[in-house]
Amino acid sequence: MRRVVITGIGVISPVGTGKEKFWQALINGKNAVKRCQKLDTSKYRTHMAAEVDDFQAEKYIDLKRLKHPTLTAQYAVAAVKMAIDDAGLEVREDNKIGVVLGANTADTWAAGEGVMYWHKTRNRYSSTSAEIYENLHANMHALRVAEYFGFKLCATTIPAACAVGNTVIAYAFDLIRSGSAEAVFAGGHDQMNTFVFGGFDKIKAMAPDCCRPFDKDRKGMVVGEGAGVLLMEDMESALRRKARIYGEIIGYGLSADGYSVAIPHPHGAGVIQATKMALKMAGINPEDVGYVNAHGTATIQNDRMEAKAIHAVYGKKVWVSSIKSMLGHCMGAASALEACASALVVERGVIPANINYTHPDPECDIKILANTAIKKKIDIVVSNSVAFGGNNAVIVMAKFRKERT
Amino acid sequence: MKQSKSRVVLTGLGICSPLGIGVVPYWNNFLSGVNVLKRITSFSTTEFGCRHAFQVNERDLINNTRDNTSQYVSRSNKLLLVSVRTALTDAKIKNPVGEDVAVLTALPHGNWNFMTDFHRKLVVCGPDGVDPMAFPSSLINYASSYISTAYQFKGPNITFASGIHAGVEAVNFAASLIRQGHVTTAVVSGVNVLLADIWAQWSLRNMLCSSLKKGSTGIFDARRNGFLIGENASTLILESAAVAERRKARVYAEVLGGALSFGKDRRDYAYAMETALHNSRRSYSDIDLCVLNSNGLKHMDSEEIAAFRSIFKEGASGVDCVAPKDNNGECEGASGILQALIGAKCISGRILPPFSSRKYNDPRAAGGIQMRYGSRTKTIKYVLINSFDVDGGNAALLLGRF
Repeated sequence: MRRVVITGIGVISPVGTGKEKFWQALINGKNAVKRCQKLDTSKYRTHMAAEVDDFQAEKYIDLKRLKHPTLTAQYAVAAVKMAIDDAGLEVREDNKIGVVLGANTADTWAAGEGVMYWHKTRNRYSSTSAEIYENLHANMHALRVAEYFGFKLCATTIPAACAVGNTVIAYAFDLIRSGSAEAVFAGGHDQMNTFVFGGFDKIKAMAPDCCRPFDKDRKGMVVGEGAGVLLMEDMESALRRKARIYGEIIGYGLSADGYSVAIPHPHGAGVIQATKMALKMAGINPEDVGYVNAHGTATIQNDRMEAKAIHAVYGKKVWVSSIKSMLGHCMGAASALEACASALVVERGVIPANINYTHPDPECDIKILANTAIKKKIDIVVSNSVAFGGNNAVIVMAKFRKERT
Repeated sequence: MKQSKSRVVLTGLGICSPLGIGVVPYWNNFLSGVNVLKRITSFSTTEFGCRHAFQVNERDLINNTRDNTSQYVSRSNKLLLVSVRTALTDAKIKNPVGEDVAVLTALPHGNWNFMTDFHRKLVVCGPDGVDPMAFPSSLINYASSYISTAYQFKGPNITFASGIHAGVEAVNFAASLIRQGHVTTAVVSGVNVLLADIWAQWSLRNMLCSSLKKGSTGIFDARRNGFLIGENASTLILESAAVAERRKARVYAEVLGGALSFGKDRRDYAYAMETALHNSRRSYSDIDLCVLNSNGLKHMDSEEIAAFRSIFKEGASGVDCVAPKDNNGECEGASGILQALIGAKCISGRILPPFSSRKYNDPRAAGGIQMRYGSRTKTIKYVLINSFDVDGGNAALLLGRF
């Protein structure tokens, strides 16, 4: 089996676009949650969001080469471009490079408004452009990325709701480990949209002020947006081209709660199962883990469930934080951005904090890293993600060492 | 010989299709060339050239989903439920350990109508106009999650939305999960239902067949100018060979290997097929049957035949092929799973199905590959499945006799 390393990172996030801006914001505890600017939220209970405000597509990509480039599509293509540049990767014509992307909604939400619905209700489909419809498909962004950069292996789309990032990383990991791919761009992306904002507001999952994961006074999640992409590469290929290696992916775990499509399992059985699968694949024990990047949405149910799962596996020995406290919940981008952060943690030995944490919740009996980042030599990081539908995905990253026992 | 622990076999087949619900009625109708093409009545097609599709009979669907009438279960969910149920019954799997069962579903359009309606109501009526319970059921991964929840399957749950070839991608990943020992069993499905928006999109891209009035419905017919949509949910039960042997399960076929590629021409299709053969340690001369992707889109069909000929070279005209989309339609997310189901039935039943159900195919359009009418008995050891999307994704799969 081949080893899989991370050699490139692309980030578009509410705390900053670009890897370094993102990292500095994380270790300085920047809070990106503000009153929502991109949507009219006047009809909703809540009005806060974490929005990307510094993204300029033209800096990264030639928009003329993208057919009807929606913001979501721009996020996907630009994040991949950033990862390519970061890795110094040359895309040959006969490459075995793939792209595996996912989103919570991609642009399918847009089918509910605008021209498409207008034409549908009037049986006037034929008076509009096919390309508008074409762009609404969930798989269009992976296709656009593969076309734009000339990847020849695959353009795969896996919509795993909020667990997209870790799920696509798991799939990409297998493609490289089995020798099918030499490199895969894996990530997630979503733009701020009414469907997600309104939906979470309607089910009363949103906080009216800020995001306080694991805090006793937490009031819910805050919707965010963005894109995160990792360039995952066969270790031998990365070493041959003398690439900078952030870390190594050594295992993943996937599970379903099999409990409810809307409510997480109260004791986190699915997260425990996914974690055990990931640690077993990585060949490590819970005490080897130095940091858990939690899903930590700041909803009552998620945080209690996840804390129980973390406690069941690690006890109170491992540092835990949720960067959603700063970024909000960036939907399809959430766990991909968390994977980007985790790769930087293993490379740089600094753990970002869980901000807005003032009152510990006794029901969340875990070792939260509160409010201030710390320096710590980290060998292994675990990143959790949980999704609507009861889908759980956990990945394990390690500091890169050429010889690994 | 590889250890049975790392081998993956097909032990159950399920289907909910216009040609039948359950694999036995479906197979009989498929072999007989029954034509179930019907005019669409669920939405208006007056502005389009194509007005026909292969549709699952509504009464059959109602009869098979009487125990689930929830308003949050969409038509695609219902087809999926019926298909999974028939596959689990076929595999005779009783009380599996939930943690050992993965669920993978190819569903490129998700619960499209639910998502668009929820969003539309939010825009027009505001939050008071939407039902909160409808929100989770609108998400693309809902259908697959619904299966895990309904059966308490707790292994990995993954939705593939890559396009028409997503089903073969799902089979390949499911086999990988079993080979690595993460699970012993995988329920792998693909679903497609008729949706007005998607219909409009295909139509506006000039991909639907509008030549029916000229009497042309057959794939590779010289007058054919596009595909016909088919509703379908197909399911495969993949199991570790060791587990299947232990419970004395009937084995339809073995999953030997697969491959992916991206691109829209013959070299890209050929790469996926050749790599699937390579990964399975087989050569083109081993192949007894090829299940083609061809769906009536002239350019892409001819590229597939060119790819096929480039792999099989002078032996191409001697290899048997089947083009199941001729009387199933383009089943999009369900296509790859349906192709694999057909391949598995051919291997286990030692039967060579008709190339297609039409007798007016044009041999020149099919590039001289074998076009048989009527089925016959033949021992089939290896079946190559070729699946690709109109927008560039390709996947191939090799099945073998166990």
